Amino acid sequence: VLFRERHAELVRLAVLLVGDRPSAEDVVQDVFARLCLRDRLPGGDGSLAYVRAAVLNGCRSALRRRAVARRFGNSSDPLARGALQESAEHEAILVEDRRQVLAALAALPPRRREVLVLRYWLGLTEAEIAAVLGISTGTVKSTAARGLAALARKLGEQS
Amino acid sequence: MTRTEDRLTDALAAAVSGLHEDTLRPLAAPACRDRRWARWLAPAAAAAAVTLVVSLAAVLTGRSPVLPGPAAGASGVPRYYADMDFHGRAVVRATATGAVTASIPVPRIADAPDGNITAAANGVFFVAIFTSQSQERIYRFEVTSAGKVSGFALVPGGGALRGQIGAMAASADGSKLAVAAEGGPNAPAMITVIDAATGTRTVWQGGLARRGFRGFDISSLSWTSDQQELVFTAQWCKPFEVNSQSCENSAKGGRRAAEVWALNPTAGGGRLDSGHLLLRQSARYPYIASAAISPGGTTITALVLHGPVRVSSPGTVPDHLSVVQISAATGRQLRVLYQRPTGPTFAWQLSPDASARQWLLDGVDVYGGGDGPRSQSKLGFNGWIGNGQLHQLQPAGGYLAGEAW
Repeated sequence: VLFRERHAELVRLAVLLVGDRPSAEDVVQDVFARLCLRDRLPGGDGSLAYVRAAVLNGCRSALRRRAVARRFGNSSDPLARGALQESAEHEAILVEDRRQVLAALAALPPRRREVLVLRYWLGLTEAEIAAVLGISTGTVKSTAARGLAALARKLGEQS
Repeated sequence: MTRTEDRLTDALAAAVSGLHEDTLRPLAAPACRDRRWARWLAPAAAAAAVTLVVSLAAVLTGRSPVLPGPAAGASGVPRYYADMDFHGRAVVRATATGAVTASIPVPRIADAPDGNITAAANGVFFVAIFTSQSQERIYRFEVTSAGKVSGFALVPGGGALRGQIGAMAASADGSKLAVAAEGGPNAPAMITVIDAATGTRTVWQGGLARRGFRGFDISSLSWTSDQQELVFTAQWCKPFEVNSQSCENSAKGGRRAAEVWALNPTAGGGRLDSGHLLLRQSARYPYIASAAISPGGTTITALVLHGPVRVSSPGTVPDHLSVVQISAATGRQLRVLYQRPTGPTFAWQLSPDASARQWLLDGVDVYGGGDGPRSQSKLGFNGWIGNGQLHQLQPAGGYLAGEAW
């Protein structure tokens, strides 16, 4: 039930991390199938954090697979192309400014990218991000600060 | 909010604004049969077999049932292997069970943890980490007889290596390390030999351009034990700029070629063709994906692809692979160690132990290379070759960051 209620949110989260919709849907489907087979979703408030964490892990795996594929000659990597791309139609909607921001975001290390997406797209608190990523709130705080500073530098702004 | 935060919030919202729930592919529930017990069957059987063998050995020899050495177990199979996990850690695992005995958080420089790992004798391992500046750094560590790690340090001369390392091999005593950087349109593939004590680098580059091919790469490296020969597999590919083991795309007129060459590593660098040709692809060996020389320099162990090509990602690949041993002197095939269909795998790695008698083999499918339990890599394979069979490593699944032992 949780999965079906949050399906769109989870796919959107994955899109922001892996950069394209087919991969994002694959990640969410894989997580759903795995959790179903393992039958080990925790109850209560922890379940959503658990599912989000599983999707983040799935995104990392997808990015890792791309790195392996890239090593062996497959360059069809949306993140490697420097921007998150949804579709030709959607791409046209994104104005240049947004494209720059997303390209800069895509160039950040995975952990920073994850923290910024959880913070500025999902609107999670530092404690909630810490629960999803399995890190301390202090680490969340410092990672977000470094991520924003790096983003500002890439965008030519004062952080 | 700062201007950066404003722009980020706006861009993130816009990036997924076109994704509506009613357009999503419906979630497909798998058949949720409870087969959790089955997951323990193979490891339990393997553990039981190891226990039985060790106990029998103890009874027969009168010795205590302790497996010897940091590297070799009772059967000659190294007790531990190392690989890179997704989280950027070099992980040491028990070969028999896959249990993690040690892990090292390798200093993270890159956006994505990406590594390559190799080993010398006596439990010395080298790991190369790709950085976001398109460079690599190489660290070394030792694995003790208990599977623990010590002496983790940056290799002298192992910083800021240009390009992405596609192959790496340590000399038997760990004093020299050869790395092959992948080529590109403006930077042809090259081999660098690093003196692990002094950091001195020697470079071999150029001389192996082939008309009609755009991509050139070096897929494997190996040493003879006397360090008089450094053997590499050269690959050419069309139409891709950067070579891959699955570069061929016959539907578009693509083709590939491979040769095994030997260099004299004491010669002080030079052209890649300054050595001599050991093996060329032929009707018998249609494509040599990887090859390694034996410590004595007498035998080449090659991973050969053959059979009808099939479509895979990112190109097409022959439908069978064989691991064969070939005389370095005559080119005659001595024996077939292992063969299997390539299935959906598109890239492979063959890694010897220090004796070159034990071989690790990885095959990566389009889903391979994930982190943690490699359950998503259902179609790849990884294991060690023995008696014509592939003995599955745990965790299962092909993974080309590279297991080494």
